[in-house]
Amino acid sequence: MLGVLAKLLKALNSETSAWALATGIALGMVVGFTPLWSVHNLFILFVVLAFRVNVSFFLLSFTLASGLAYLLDPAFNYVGEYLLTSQSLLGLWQSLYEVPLARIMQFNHTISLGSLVIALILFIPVLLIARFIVNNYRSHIQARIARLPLVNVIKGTRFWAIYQKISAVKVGGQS
Amino acid sequence: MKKVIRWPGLLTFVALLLALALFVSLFLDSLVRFGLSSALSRMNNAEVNIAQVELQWSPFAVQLQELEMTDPDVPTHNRFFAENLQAQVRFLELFIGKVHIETLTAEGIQLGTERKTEGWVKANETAEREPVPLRERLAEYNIELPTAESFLAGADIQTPGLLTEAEEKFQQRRAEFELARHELPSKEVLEEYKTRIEAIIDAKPKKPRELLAAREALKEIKADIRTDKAKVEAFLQVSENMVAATEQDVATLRTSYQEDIEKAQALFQRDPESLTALSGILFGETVEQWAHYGLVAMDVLAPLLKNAHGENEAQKYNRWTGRYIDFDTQSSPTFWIKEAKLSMQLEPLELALSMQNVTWQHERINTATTYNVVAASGESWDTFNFNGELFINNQGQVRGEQMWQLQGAQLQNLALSGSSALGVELSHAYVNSRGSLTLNAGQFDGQSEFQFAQANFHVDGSSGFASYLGEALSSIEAFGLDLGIRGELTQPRFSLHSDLDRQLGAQINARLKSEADARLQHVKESLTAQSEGVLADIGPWLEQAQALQAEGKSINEAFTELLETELESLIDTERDRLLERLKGKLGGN
Repeated sequence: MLGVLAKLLKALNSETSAWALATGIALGMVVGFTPLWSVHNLFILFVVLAFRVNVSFFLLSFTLASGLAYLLDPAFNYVGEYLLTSQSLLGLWQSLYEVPLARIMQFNHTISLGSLVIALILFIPVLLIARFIVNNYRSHIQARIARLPLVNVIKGTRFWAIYQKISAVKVGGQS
Repeated sequence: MKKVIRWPGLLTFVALLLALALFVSLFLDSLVRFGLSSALSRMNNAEVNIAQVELQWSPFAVQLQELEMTDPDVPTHNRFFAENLQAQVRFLELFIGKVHIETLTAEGIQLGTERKTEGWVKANETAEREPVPLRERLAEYNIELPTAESFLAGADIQTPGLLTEAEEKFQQRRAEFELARHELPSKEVLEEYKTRIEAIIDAKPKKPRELLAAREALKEIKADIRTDKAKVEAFLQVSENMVAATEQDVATLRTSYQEDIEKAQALFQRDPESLTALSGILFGETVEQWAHYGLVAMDVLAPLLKNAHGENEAQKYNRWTGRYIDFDTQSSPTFWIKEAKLSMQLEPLELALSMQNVTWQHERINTATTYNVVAASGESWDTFNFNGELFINNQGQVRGEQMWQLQGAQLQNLALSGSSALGVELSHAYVNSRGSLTLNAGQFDGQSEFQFAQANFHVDGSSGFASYLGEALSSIEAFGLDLGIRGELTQPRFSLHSDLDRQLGAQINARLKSEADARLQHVKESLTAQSEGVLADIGPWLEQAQALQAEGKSINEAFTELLETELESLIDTERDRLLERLKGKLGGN
């Protein structure tokens, strides 16, 4: 647990791009909100692993979003039901029904569609807000936190030793 | 580009995909087996086991080995067993929650096979049906008449006991009577008394001293008479009591004799109605088994589809799991077997059953599930037609109809009952059968008739009933059975009516009547002989006792008369004579 927290802090305090952290958070939210065994999640996993998206923040976001999804399932169901039963969209759904990939993505399942639509709507705002928070943390909050007496106390703990070790390994790897 | 792409991550993704593919190739069969077992168990409301599942990718097909579906009513048995089942499934439909099977082929289907271990059953599906052990009932069936000896030795009969009792009492009474009789004064004694009294009277005592002497002599005679009279009265008392008691015993014997004969008549006479259930007992299980075979399509298919319909409907409204919305412009069903070919082993028949459009959403395709027998072997017959259809509407109500016709089927060595006490086998017969069945709102209503000709039965066994039944069946060549089918879809009830009962009843009752008459005659003769033995002694004794009683009464009356004899007349005569003499001496005044 301490190791995970140290990794998160390390990512936050390192030179890792703020976009990489924010993208990890946004993509983790999408995977967490939507049913895990969906085809689109395989695609997201590919993006997370193959491109420079922060995996730690992706996992943190996925965990939090999964927990939240249990509470939001009725809302996802409502949105999916609304969209799938909308007469104006009937033609679209009937067309998609004929597309094998769409069938594999289970677009006609109320919770699958509703959660994906909500996650996609939230994706850009979450991405931008996360990037804004990371940037602000690094430019303003990080230095202030470093000066807090509590931080000096933490620096004497085992957690700080783990944090230093992770940082050293990474730095060593880069050099 | 190198900065954008994280090569180790990409390799990890590829490794993950490969691991996933490996996992699928290794465990997909097991996963499918687990998923199918679970889904079919929910449909069946009882445990479903699949020994092995194999997947074929092109064309996509699922092959099942040893599919066992527990019978919810009898969890020790399977309602359906298929040795091998292959289904060509439309792959893409599976991703939208639809199972469309183009062709399904099942081989080695058997019904009612015993399971290795008892299958679990959904709690509210506990069996309400108690199997009726008809064959055991037949083995226990006993219409053998009791023998005359067993009746005569039985506890219900009264005459023999009363006879013994009456005999003992009679012997005792006779002894007592003889004793009393010895005390009875003879007629000679009576005559002697008469003579002595006449002698006194004839002496005509005249003098007062003679008169006094005569009076004293008469007084002594009377004392003797009174003594003997007391003996006579004692005898009369004893004889009257004994004669009355003996007459009462004789009357009781006669009454009990009549009652015992009536009991024997009742015992040897059987109620002809008691044989009305015999055809049901003989053919009940066999015909019920045939009926279950006949209902195989409805009996197995309809409950499964109905359950699946109910489960499918229940799933629609769960907001935590969501639902699939169908955008099929052709409204294809969620589950649809377009063509099924089932090869069944229904001892002793092998049937090939063809089914079309198996689904629980018939309104979507506007066609009922249809089925018919396309081939059959194992027994010889002239014609065999079997077809039916099944339709489940959107409300889950099941309706259907079925018809069948069988001509000239040859039955051989059909065991109807098997036990050491009684074994009945239909050695040979030709059967014609036809019937129809409708199913409305889950309720069966149907009728089937079976006409048996050139029937030949074989009966053996140690029970007495075996000989009755064997003799009766040997004279029956043709009979009919009418089978009624009613009740719930999952629990049909059968009723059986047959003219075999009438024929068997007539045969068995005729034999029983002749045996009953003979045994009744035997009882009558035995009781009469026993009664006559006792009454032969009692009767003459009674006559003798009554004669002696009359004689005693006569003596008693004579004694009474003698005791009334007085000398007053002699005294009056003498007084009159003396007064006459005195009157003469005084001048005639």
